[in-house]
Amino acid sequence: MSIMSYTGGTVVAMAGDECVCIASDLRIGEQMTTIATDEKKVHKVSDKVYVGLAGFQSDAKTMLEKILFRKNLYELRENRKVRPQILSEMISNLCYQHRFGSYFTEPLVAGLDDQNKPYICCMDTIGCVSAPRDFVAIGTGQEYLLGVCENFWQENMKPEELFEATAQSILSCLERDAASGWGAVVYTITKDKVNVSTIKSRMD
Amino acid sequence: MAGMHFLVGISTDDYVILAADKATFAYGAILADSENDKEYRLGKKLTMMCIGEEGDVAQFGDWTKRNLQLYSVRNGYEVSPASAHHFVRRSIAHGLRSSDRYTVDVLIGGYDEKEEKAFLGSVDYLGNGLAKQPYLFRGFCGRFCYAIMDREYKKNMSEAEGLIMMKKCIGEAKRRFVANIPGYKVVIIDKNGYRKLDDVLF
Amino acid sequence: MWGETFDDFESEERELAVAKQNFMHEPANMNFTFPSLPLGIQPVEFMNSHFGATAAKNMKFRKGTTTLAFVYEPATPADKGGIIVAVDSRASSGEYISSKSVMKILDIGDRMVATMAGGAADCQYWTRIVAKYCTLYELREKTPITVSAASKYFANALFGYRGKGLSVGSMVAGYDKKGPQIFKVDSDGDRCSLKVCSVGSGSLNAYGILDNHYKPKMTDEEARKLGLRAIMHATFRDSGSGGVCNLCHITPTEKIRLPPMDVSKLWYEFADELGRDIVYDPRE
Repeated sequence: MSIMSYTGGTVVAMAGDECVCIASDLRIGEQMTTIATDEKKVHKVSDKVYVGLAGFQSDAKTMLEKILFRKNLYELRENRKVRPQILSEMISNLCYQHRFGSYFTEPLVAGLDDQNKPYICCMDTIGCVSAPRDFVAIGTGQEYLLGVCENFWQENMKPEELFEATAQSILSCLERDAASGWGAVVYTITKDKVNVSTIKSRMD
Repeated sequence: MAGMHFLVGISTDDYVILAADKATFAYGAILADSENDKEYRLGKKLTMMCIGEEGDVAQFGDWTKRNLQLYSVRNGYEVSPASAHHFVRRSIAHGLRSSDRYTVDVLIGGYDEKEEKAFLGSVDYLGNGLAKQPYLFRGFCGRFCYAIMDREYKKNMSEAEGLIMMKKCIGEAKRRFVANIPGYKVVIIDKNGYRKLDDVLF
Repeated sequence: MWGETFDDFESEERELAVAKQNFMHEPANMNFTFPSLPLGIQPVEFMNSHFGATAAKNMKFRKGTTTLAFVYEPATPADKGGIIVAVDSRASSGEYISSKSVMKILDIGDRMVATMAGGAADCQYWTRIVAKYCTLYELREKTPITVSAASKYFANALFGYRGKGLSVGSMVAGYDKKGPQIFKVDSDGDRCSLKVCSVGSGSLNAYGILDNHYKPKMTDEEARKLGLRAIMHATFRDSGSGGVCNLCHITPTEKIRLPPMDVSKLWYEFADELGRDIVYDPRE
């Protein structure tokens, strides 16, 4: 097993009409053994900006600390909230700074910018940003997710539809990915508020 | 040789029990010492059990202990268990990407005075950290014990029940694991403070 | 009778004796052999030079399992006692779950089963061979084969292929004239008789439950529940195991296969029973 799937975990984000959804599973393991089932991989960075970090948990944690540090400095210096586009560039820079000894984690950014336009993107471990308009997925369940998302995603989904699509996609993924699962948490980010919901999944 | 050693941590909101084997193994085949202390006290209501490469354990344990001591002297208060856990995880993760790494697995147990809750966390030698867990194990024997705890853990169990659970885990390790582990040191931390209990001996 | 000459027999008896010698001897184990590379060619080097060094690694066989079996005596006269065999149903290659409904309890005759852990193909094939042997044995000897003999044949077959990369961890369980028996057989050719036994990546967790809750005397209800629960707890902690729990109860008189139980449903039932709050609360 590679280091990228040592602890396991999956994150997915989908964009809708003035809303985005970001979801992750809750498992942390040591290879085949599940150690904890309450470790979400989605973190709040700013009001309407969330970051998902899949891959090696140790590096994901270190990376999150570095991201928050840089984002805090940015917000203090600029005296405004960070936009998801800016944050993804910052994270990309951070990743590339470790080009010759990278952190084994793939970051994902999802959020609404100041015009409430949805923005989602994911990166590889050294910071290659890809920002499609529909959906992104990272982690051990990436391949399964991209497949099902193709089916669930539609143009201009409303928050309720978007939540349903994201939840169904990640649940389908958890059925087939042994390294993720044990429940999932879905954040629905709309221009007025952020809705957090926990969903049950298979416990094996 | 972290795999041969065994650390147990069980916590509820009121207390945390930590147990560590007292063995030192040599050449992967010999029991060199049966009175080895793997505990490093990090504060009045905070402690750390540490296994891994023998030299690393002693060095890292002492280094952590002294740094947190220095912190409390400088600032006039002790770090919270969660902060100590964060510090340990960061140190190990940082060390992993430098020339001097510590190959150690730790359990951290303490009582958080602010939150009025017991704390149990672990960090492995790769820097994977888990905080605020009901039960954690380090070492190979843990793989027997997670299922036992899943089966019987209760959020509101009493201290006596917790100790019975801990003994069940240690008993299972004794029954199924190849290595002869002579005994375990057991400590408990709750809102009244730190207590060392009688060793579990075989 | 071997080494006799037939000259001593009368002609009629002689025909019978000849027929016996021709047909009643033990059949050849197998007249099928696996094709192998020409002498002097090492399989690993052959693979590397012809298909690249990663070729063998890319052949992901299906594995990851929890299987268990135990013998118990009836606690009351109303119970049947016997053997409980319980297994999960997941086949995985790496993190990918390639099947959620594999039957890992394979039949060997009417009163015997073999469980499947390790390489799925290896287990299925060799169990078939053992089943064939047992059927022929019963026809020839007019008495059911003992679990001991069947498992010995199994172990011998595997021992013949040791070092060739077979991966089998099987438990042969059944009722014979000596009573309930479980033999653990693996691809090293090892074979041992056990009362409580578990094999697979989730076996450590299953042992944890079995060691703490197994009693030599149990009611049927208790025993079946123990089997289910041990598999359920193992699937919870071991990502290589999951799906449904297939359970087989072998009593002194019959072999009962219970309907598959979803381990995830079992877990939620168990959590309800304990009143444990397992709903995750995002701490933010």
